[in-house]
Amino acid sequence: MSTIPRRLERVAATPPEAPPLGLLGYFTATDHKKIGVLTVTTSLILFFVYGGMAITMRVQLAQPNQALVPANMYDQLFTVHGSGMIFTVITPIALGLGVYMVPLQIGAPGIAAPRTVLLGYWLNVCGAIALLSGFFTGNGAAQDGWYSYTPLSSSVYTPGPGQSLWVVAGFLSVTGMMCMAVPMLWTVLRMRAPGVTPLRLPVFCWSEIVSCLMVVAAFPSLLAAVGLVAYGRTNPAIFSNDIWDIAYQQLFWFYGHPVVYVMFFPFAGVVVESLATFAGRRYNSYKPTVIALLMFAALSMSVYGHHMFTTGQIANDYYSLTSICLIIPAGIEYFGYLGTIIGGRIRWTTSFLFSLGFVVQFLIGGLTGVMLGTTVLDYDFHGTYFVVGHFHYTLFGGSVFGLMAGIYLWFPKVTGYLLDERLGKVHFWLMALGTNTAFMPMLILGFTGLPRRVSTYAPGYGFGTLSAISTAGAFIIGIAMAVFVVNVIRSLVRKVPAGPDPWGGHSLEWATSSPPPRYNFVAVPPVHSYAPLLDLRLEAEKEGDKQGRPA
Amino acid sequence: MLREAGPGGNYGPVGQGGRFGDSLDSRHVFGHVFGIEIVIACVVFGAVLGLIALAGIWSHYKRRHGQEPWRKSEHHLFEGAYTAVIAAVAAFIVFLSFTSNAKPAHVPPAKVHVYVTAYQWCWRFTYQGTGVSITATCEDGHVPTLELPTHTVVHMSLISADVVHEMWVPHLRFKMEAFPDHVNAWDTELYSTGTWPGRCSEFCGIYHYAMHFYLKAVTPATFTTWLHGEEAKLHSGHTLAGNSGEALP
Repeated sequence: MSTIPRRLERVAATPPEAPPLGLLGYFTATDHKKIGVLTVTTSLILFFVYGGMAITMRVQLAQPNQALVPANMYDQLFTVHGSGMIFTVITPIALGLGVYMVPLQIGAPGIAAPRTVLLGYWLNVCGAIALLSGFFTGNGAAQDGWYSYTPLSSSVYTPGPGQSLWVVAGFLSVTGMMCMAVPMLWTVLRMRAPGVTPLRLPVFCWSEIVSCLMVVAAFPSLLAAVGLVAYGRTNPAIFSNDIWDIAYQQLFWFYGHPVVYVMFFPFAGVVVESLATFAGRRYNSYKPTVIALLMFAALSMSVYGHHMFTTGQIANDYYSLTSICLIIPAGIEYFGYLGTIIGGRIRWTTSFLFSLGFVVQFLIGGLTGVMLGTTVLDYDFHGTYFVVGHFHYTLFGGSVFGLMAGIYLWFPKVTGYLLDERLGKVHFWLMALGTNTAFMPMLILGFTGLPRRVSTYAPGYGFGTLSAISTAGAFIIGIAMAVFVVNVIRSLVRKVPAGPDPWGGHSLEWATSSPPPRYNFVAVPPVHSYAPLLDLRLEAEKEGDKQGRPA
Repeated sequence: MLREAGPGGNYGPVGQGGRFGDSLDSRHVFGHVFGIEIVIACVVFGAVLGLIALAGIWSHYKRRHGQEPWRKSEHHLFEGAYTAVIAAVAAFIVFLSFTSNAKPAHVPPAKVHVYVTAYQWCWRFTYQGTGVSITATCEDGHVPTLELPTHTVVHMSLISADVVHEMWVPHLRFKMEAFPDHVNAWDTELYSTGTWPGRCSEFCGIYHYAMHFYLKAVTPATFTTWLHGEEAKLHSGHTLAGNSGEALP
């Protein structure tokens, strides 16, 4: 415990690993790579479960006055879809990618406090089980939306165990995320290989650092918020006083906005790695991007009030100011992305295409976000399908596309096998088509007057056609996901070997075998910048030139 | 037991909702600000698409001519310059947001004061000083109508009788949340006659989707006649509940 092996010579001398325990090994793992794979895979399975709920909802909404599912069931579906995706899918995947990749990218043999990280995984699994088990209880699962405002979520208005299980789920999964974030932060602060200074960390590592900082600073606020709901479910009288209703909103959104960034930054970091690798260029404007990430993390603590502009109980101008200031770090990131691919020699891989999809679609999410941060526009958009369209552009068009860019980039590293590029491109184009067909109509629906969280709507306002288009988009996304599953299974069956560095990567994870050995590296190459492997290649090229060989 | 919003009630502090630049016309202010921001958004979106296309074309050129990718990755002057440009855009949008949400300098005193009570799952509109109170069931297409005069400053006070609701009239591009223990109040003015749907836009339980009302703007003369008529009905002993429910079209 006290001697974390920092010197790599010692790592190389570590005795060979104990005989593998098979499947059981995954449940007692202290290897950050196993925990990372476990986290991401579990959350991907849950992603399909909650995604199925989304498609059910889209079918219900395809036409006006439809009663495919009862209103009460519809409310459970959107609540579990939203809470589940946020608590137990995107956040754990965002951190799980880091659990796998951060130690590799910093040349470390492992992660700090691996059992705490594993505990985080299991707490999150228990959270997911708690949330889903609500469906088997008397009044059904949680049904008050992912932010479950009081006093609606008190036992007076939502009796039954389902909503209480939502409290349990929120508490467990968010505690689990803190258990993952703190060791990761410790790892990146204290376990870097020699030569890996803070300003030589890959951008992905920085994106995980700022995400972990936000987890540490903001996630405890959710524990307080759900604690308040828990108390209110035993003593609902407290919510007859406005102070506790508004306090709940404050506590919830103090977590609720930073969590959006935790669900976003690691994927923005993935996109940086993917764009730089496939443009064949060192990532452009590294330092401004690092400063922008830190500025984002700091600002994320003060923007949450923009969720409450219409409460009449918050300083609207202040939160409008802080929210709009987010344009500055966001703009710097975009200049970084574009500055990297312009002047590059692009390889149009699936991972690169998903990264471009991220850049374009997240931009729609960001630009509509500026509108939501403008107070007088939010007076119209708040609580409507415009908001639903906006955050699906950020979280699906952005984060999930970033995730896919990461999967196509790192799958060979993690499994040792290549994914099929042709199927990957089919996956990408279907998913891009589906995303825009599903979510663009939502922006227009909100603009024309459809509130969110309605289990059905009246005919005669023109909502039917756009809703039907959106439903068609949801099905296209479903097909795209099926292609993805086929691609993964096919690749695991066919086992086309990837080799240690199939892409000509820039960062240290490509300097070891695929998959990496138990303690990651036999020897860490010298690190002189945030793209050490690119440095080595360029040096070799120069040597080649000197000796008169073609580069 | 429903709590009614009305004079003499004991509620929390009156909120500062609904402030609209130089007028009480939220629709106009929305149109102005949205018009500017959608143009900025389209320009930025077009520019990013254009730069991606440039990257693609240039990359194609480099490949064809066997050129290496650029090596330089730091341009301090350029980085400073674009940060300044982005900051300037942000400052402009902050300015736009602040000025459009500023309290009007001169609001004439309100001539009509309506107390709105949101409850699971319908609305009640009470006209101060008259005893007229309009509600309906919000079931089977029976939704209440909020009738208001045009060209008259109207003071609205909004409260909830149970959970958090939100009063939204899409035509006015304005909404405000209704809390059980807190009054949100604002002034508004309507500039044309018409009837528009209003909806609840904060999830409030199983019949949230049906919690509708109508906003009907009539000329001041028609409004006065209507209000007196309702008062007369009241004095002649008509029941209140449900008498103004109108069928959906």
